[in-house]
Amino acid sequence: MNRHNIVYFFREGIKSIFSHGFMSLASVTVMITCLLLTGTALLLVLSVNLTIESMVTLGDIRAYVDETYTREEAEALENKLRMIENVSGVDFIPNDRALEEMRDEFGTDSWLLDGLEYDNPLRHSYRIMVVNIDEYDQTIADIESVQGIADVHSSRESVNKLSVIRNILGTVSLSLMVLLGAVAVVIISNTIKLATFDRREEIAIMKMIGATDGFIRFPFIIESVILSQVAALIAFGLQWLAYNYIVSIGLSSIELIEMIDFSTVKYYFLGGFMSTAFVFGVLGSIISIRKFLKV
Amino acid sequence: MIRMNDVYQSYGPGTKALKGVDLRIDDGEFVFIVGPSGSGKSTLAKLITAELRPTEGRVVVNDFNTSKMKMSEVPYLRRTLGIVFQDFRLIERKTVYENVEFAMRIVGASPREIKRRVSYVLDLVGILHKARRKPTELSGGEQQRVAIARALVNNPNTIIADEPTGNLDPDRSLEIMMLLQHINDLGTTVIVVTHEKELVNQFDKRVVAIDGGLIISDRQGGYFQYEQT
Repeated sequence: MNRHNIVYFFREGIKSIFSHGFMSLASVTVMITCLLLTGTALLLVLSVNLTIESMVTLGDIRAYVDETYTREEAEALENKLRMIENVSGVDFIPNDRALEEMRDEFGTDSWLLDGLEYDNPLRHSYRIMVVNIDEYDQTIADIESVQGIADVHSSRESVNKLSVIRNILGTVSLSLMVLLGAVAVVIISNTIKLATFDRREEIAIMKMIGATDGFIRFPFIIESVILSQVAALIAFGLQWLAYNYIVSIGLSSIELIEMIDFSTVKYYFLGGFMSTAFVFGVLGSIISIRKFLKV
Repeated sequence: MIRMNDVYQSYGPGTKALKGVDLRIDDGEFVFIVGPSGSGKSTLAKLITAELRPTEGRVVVNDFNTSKMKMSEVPYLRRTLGIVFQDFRLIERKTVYENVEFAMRIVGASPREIKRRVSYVLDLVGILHKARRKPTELSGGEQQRVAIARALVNNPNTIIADEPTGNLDPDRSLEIMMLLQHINDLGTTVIVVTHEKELVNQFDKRVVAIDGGLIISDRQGGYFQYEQT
């Protein structure tokens, strides 16, 4: 590519967008829809993932010490628990602190617990955090096998259910991405095909006077890249606004799912949208122009 | 320089457009390729521009062996040629200037070179005063001048014109032929494919006559001489 031609390529690409206004609008709209649907599915996957992770990493596992153990004996278990693979943190909760926590939970009804401090029925316990959710079941089994641990409470069932949901959503979003990607490629390629068909005579002339395929193709690639990037930017803006709106009106109040904060993933989404749209756009234009170059 | 050795061209089983053609055109020549419709003269032109590859035989155009060259080399062969078509093939949405400028863009010429050279060739073909017009605002003869300017602008070794006067009246046809002769006088090889006897007879040039896919005459002089052989 010659530097003198770069301005020409851009000028021709932009001109073509406006001369096929309706198809350009159609391809941008389709691309936006595809990106939004895929993005939404992805956000759901991320939110479910976040929910699962926060359940297990924020101390979802509670291991209760045998009630015959003294506080010192119970504290001595900490090292054994820390040595279990996949355990990232251990927090010892003596029974007096457990009682205090219970008082806090009871709030104004905490008077019901008055007097228990003299004969505390609660057991010493540990709040345990894990690293990898995929080894959750094994980690619980390892904790249960520690001598002195009488009982282990966890959200194993909830975590497993959420894992299934996450996997389904993951598959759905991947399928959506492939399906909608194909739709986007077809629409973009049709837009470019229309532009190419409109200029087939011109392309034939260009070929006869010595233009390389790259020279002919470049304005069409620029056209599709501009269309796809405009679509990606609009889709990103809409995704951000729509997601934040949905979170603000209700989903955040459903405690089961912890919705991901869009601002933490915005750059990934922007990059993902732009690069996906770029690939589909370029692919669409290359596919559509190929047959017109055989002169 | 153009060389064809024992060239056969078929468009399918039993359809042979050329049947063993040998032809040599040296640099600086002016050659008419004549023959009736369906004789194979356009096939010959297409072999030179690499629109076709020979079915058999060898075609070498300005050091490019079209029988063996890769598709990616075709544009570079065509840059050594200036091609003029019967129907002008100008881009209607572009002005006269842009149509000619465009051919220079393709080869990556600098803006300064483009400005200098485009003005020069438009002046050479006598159409500089209409540089800002669109092709549809010009007569047929003027459009063909623009097409010739476009063919010339990259300073090609050879101009190949396929029926360049087919859409023009006799006076305009003569003007175009005079222009091509002037270009030839400046050193460019000119090959004109035509079936217009009267026009060919007005120039004492080499005439290659083709009929039924065979070269039946190749001599210096007019079209009628070919008919008498």
